Amino acid sequence: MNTPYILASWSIVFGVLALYGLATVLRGRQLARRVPASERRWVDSQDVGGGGDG
Amino acid sequence: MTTQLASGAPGSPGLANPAEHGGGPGTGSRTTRALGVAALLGVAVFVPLGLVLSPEDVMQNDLVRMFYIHVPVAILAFVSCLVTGAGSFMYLWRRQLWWDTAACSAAQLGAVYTALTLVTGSLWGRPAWGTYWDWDARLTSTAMLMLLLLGYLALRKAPGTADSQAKRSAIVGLLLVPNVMIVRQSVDWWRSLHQPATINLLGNTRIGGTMLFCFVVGLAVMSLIWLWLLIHRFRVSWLEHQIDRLDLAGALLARRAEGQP
Amino acid sequence: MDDTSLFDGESTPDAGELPAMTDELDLTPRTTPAGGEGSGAARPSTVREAKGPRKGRGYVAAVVLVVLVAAGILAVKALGNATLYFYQADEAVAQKEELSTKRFRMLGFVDGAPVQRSSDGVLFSVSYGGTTVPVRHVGDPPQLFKAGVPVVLEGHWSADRSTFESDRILVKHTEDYVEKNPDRKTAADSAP
Repeated sequence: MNTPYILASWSIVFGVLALYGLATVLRGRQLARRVPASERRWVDSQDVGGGGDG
Repeated sequence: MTTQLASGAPGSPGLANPAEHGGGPGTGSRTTRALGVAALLGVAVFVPLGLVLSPEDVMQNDLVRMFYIHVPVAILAFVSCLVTGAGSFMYLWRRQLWWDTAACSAAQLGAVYTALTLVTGSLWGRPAWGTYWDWDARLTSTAMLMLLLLGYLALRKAPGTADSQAKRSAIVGLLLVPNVMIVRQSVDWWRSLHQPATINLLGNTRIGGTMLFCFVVGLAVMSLIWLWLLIHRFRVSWLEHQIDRLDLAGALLARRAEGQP
Repeated sequence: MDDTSLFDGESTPDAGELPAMTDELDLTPRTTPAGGEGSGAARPSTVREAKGPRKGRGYVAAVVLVVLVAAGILAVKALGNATLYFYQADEAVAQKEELSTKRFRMLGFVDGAPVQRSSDGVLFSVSYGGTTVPVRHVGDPPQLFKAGVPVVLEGHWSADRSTFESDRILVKHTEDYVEKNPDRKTAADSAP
C-alpha cells in the first residue's frame, strides 16, 4: 500500500542526484577545455589528453 | 569534513603537469573516480538492503524504509549548510577566494539536499501522518532554511566584483548556521508533528539493530555520493573563477610567452 | 600521488610566502618565481589588492556577529510564538472554557478501547496526562491509526463541551523503530 510513496521517494533522491552529478561533470568538461591543465591541479599527468572521468 | 577540505589544500605536489591545454578529463581525478566507484558499489548494496531485505517496523510497517533515505539526505543537507557556514567564516577571516568557492559549492549541494529532504519528508508524511505538509516547527524551519539557501544562491548571481560578491555571500552564508541549529532543535524546543531524533550520538538510539545497520550503510553511501558531488562542484566553481577572472587564452598565454627566456 | 589534494586551489608554490596576496588566482605563470605584483601586464582589475587595515575586518566581523545574534533571537521568537502547535488533552480539558468551541489541535494517545464506527466516521477516546477525552471524528482515520498511537486531532469542543469533535487526524508517530518479529510478520502476512 505504501510502496508507491517509498519507491517515489527513493527514485527521486537517486534520480535528482544522478542528474545533478551529470550536469556538474558535463559543465566541468566544457569549462575545462578553456583552462590549461596546469591550472587544474587535480589532473593526473596520465590523464592529459585522455577521456573519461569518474 | 571541513578539516579535510582545508587540509587537502596546502602543500600539494600536483604541479608537475607541463601540458598547456590538456583536452583533459574535466573535473575528474583519481580521487573522484575511486569515490565514484565506491559510491556506485554502495548503492548496489544499499538499495536492495533498504528496500527489500530490511525488516518492517512494528508501528510504521514498510514506511520505515523512508527513514533510510530521508534521514541521511537531511543530515547531508545540514552538513552542506555547516560547510557553507564554515567556508563563509573562513573567507571573512582569511579573505581567500578558495574558501568562498568551497562555501558556494556546499550551498548548492545544500539547496539540492534540502529540497530532497522536503520532498522525501512529504512523501513520508502523507502515508504516515496523513498529510503532505503541515506548518509545524520542524517543517516551517526547514522551509526557512530552503528559502535562505535560495536567497544565498540568488545573491551569488548579483553583479559585483568577485570579492564584493564573496563578502556579501559569506554574510548570508553565516546565517545558515543558526538556521540549521533551529531546524535540528525544533523538535525538542517546541511541540511539533515531526517526531524527535531517533539517532542520538550521545543518548540512546531508538532503533532496532538491523534497521540501525541499514541506516548506517545508507548514511555512508549517501555521504560518498555527497563528497563526490562536492568535489566536482568545487572544481567547476574553481574553473568558473579561472575563466571569469582571467582572459585565459590571451593574457595567460601571452604572459607565459613573455616569461620564457 | 599527484592526487593527494582534493581541492588544491590554494597550493600555488608561493602560497606560504605571501599569505595576503596569493589567492589561488594569481595570474603569474608558474615558470616565473613568486609574486604577481610588479609585472605590469594584463592584471585583471578584479584581482584583490592586498588589504592593509585590519580595522575594517574587525568592523565587518562585529556587524556580522550582531546581525547573526539578532536574526537568531528573532527566528526563535517568531517560531516559538507560532508553535503552540497543539494542546495536550489534559490542557485542553483544563482550558475548556477559554477554548470554548474555538478550533484548535489536541494531542493524545488513542485509548485501547475498541474504536467504534459511526455512520460518518469513528468514535474513540484519547488520553494524555491521565485525562481522557471522548472524540467523535468525521471521516476515515489514516492507515497508521490504532490503539496506543499518539495522534494530533484538529477540531473543537462540542457545544456541551463533553466531546471533542474532530475532522482531521494526524498520526504523530514516535521516534522509536522496533523490528517486527519475523514469526508475527509471516502470521500477519498470511492474514487477509
